[in-house]
Amino acid sequence: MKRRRDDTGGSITYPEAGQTDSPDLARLDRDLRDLSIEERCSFGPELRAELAAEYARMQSAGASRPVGTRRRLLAAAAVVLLLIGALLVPPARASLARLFLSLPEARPAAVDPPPSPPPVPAVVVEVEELAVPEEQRPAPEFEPPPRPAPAEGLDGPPPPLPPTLPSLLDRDLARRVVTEEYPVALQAAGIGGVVRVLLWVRPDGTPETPTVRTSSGRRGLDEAALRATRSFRFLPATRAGQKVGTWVEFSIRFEPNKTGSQPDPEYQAVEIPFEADGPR
Amino acid sequence: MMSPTETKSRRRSNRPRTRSREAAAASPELPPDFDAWFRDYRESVYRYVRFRVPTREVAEDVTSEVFLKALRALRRYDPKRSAPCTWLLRIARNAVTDYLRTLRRKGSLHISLDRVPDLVSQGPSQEERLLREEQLRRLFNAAATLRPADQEILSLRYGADLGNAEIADTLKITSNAVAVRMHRALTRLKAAVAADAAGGQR
Repeated sequence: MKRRRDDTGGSITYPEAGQTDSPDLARLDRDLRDLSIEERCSFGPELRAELAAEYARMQSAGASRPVGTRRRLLAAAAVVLLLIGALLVPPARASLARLFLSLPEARPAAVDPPPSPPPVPAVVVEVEELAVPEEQRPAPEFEPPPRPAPAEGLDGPPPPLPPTLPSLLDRDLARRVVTEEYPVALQAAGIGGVVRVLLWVRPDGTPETPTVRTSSGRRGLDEAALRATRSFRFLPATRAGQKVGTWVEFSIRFEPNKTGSQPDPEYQAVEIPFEADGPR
Repeated sequence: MMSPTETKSRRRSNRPRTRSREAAAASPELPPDFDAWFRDYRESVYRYVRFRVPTREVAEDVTSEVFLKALRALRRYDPKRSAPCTWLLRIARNAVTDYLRTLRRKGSLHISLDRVPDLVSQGPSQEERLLREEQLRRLFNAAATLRPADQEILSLRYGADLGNAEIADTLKITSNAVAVRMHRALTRLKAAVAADAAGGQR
């Protein structure tokens, strides 16, 4: 596509007289005007179709939402204020903690689909936290006091097994999958980002309903992260020795090659932060 | 090679202001005003963005983001405050600024025509075209070293193809200030091109 300025539209008017005939600047001006930009011919129709799809989605979302956005926001703000108020009262805080802790236990076995992600996940597990050794992990505020040790010589019930958090089974495989999903076009264009993903780890260790918690700002990266996480396998969380489902949240970082050469997308493109934590 | 008149007429013909009703009916629906803006100003927005980002793919990505943001914020658009083109270009400026901010954190803004084959020059002969493209490569490398404000005004002029009054409206400054800034930006660009050429000879 040839681009040329409309000469009647606005030639440069220099404020000082006599500078319009500066030959160097006039030549520079001409060079810049003569610059052609070839737009990909299908870009316009593709973008228009994308916009039309987005508009249709906006309309359907608006139609299926009888309550206005402002009213929904007010309701959400009221709930948040109530929760904050409840957290200020110690007994209510303990009750809330018990309620959140009991939610995963109340879930049925893996045959049932997981619930939709709650506004505040029952257990949001930062994978980075999983790397913290057990003894260094801060005690939760609502943890009950430790039970007194049974007196020597008395046969009491065995102490309950401590709960365990889920962890990624095969980190190399996860890294490979994420690397393969990194769109080559975005990588070549130097586009990277961090996608925070929330998913439900079933008791059998398989992921379910991965959703983007924090977008990278690039749809291609968000979708690549979701595709990759579906292949992840986890060691499930346990409570009292029983495998239970858990919500897990972690970040996937897509990082393009910084050298400018064509990178090998297999091993240079992607960094999974929790990779550095080592196997658990 | 096309003459400037042919180019201008072809460019204007690319703007489908008189698109047939059949074609409009066959394509998916958009709000009528927005559809018209998309037809009229997509090219300007794309060129503005393309002038400021290193590759065609990024320019397409950012342009898509601009129009998606505009579509979502359509209700908030106030025609009394700005013209549609000005509004779209303001969104584009913010999108480009965001992109460049992330790019600066990650690496170089150096641009080479080897990587940007969509920026080409028209010339009567292959030799002249190659020569012109080498000049353009230097021009773009030099432009990438300018201050963001200089890049901004050059992109609005030579990318979005705006006149002084439109640039003034977009940047919320006077037309006279636009002329002064344009002159200074071109002067600095000339110096940067000379420095680049001197560095290349060394």
